[in-house]
Amino acid sequence: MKFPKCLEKRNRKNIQEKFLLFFNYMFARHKPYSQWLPEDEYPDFSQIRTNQSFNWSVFSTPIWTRFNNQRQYLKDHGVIGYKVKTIRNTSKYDPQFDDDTFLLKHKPDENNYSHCELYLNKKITHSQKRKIRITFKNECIKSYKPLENPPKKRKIIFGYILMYFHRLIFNTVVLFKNFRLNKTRTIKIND
Amino acid sequence: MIALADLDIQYDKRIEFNQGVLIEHLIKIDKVKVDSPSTYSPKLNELNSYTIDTNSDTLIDSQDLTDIQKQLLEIKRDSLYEVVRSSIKWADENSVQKPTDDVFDRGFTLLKSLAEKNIFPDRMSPSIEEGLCLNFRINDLVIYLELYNDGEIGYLTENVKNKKIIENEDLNSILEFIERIEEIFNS
Repeated sequence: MKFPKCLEKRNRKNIQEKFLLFFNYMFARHKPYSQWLPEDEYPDFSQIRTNQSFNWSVFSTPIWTRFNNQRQYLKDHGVIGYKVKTIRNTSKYDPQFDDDTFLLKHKPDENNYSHCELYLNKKITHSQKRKIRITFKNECIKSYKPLENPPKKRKIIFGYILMYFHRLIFNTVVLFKNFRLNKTRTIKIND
Repeated sequence: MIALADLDIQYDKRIEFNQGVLIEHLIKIDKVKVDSPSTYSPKLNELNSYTIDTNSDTLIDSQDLTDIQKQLLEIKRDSLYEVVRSSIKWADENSVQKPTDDVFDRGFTLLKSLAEKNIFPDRMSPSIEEGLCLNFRINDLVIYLELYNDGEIGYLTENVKNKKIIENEDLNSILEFIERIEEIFNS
């Protein structure tokens, strides 16, 4: 598979956290065998991270997550996706957690504009981490299983549709927010 | 498999379950022997960074164990060696600390204690949380036990069918876990 040029950063800016919309997906890749056994439905619990790199569904299809920073296509890696909502609404799993337990930030790399990072915003115990990790495991969607190569065309096309649909909504939200911001500024100037 | 038939196997549900594992393992060993004899069951001196394995043969020779238990324990010990062997590379790839020698030491001790009760883990792997993770499956229940490098121990029990967390506890010692898992197996 060829590296998609539109994944390059090319002077584009970082996007604020508030534009990571709740229904957007964060795609992560997992190495076959050591992280995800091909016969398993999902990656192994012991390999689910609470700090993780992702590709954001607004600027990447799931299959592009198989490209590493050196533009190599890791054809055997499995890809899973988490909804932004799953990552943010941690208080839903346990009232002890706050919704700001995690920080999800857009952090573009030279060869991956869609790159996002998940950080732990607070110190939490092993027990709390176990709970979050199992929830992540159970709430993720499986995009590509390890060793799934070549991927089905239908799946690739669906990935493109998802990306353009998410981008359309993203652009609409950005336009709307900018419009509101300009309107507020105009009102302030007139006052 | 023929050799297995000669053994005086006590059929309880755990042995019956683990027999599948044993047979699978014997087939695997056969295959590996053809391909490359050194890839499985690494010799003790190949485990450069690991220092406690000299105890492991006495671990298997224990008189408290039946023949089938010894064989199963040997399989699990080999799997744990495999984890030891691969954990340096794995830790490098994931930018985390590999499980410490102490964690592996406790892992071996746990294997022996559980073998006496006919309980064997299904899977062992280094944990991204820096330690060792052992999975035990009993029908729809999966128990994930984690032995962390910082000395803490904890386990999470999940019903994989309805994806519900049944228990998520921190423990003070491996003994506590042995008692708990025995309760779960006997319930």
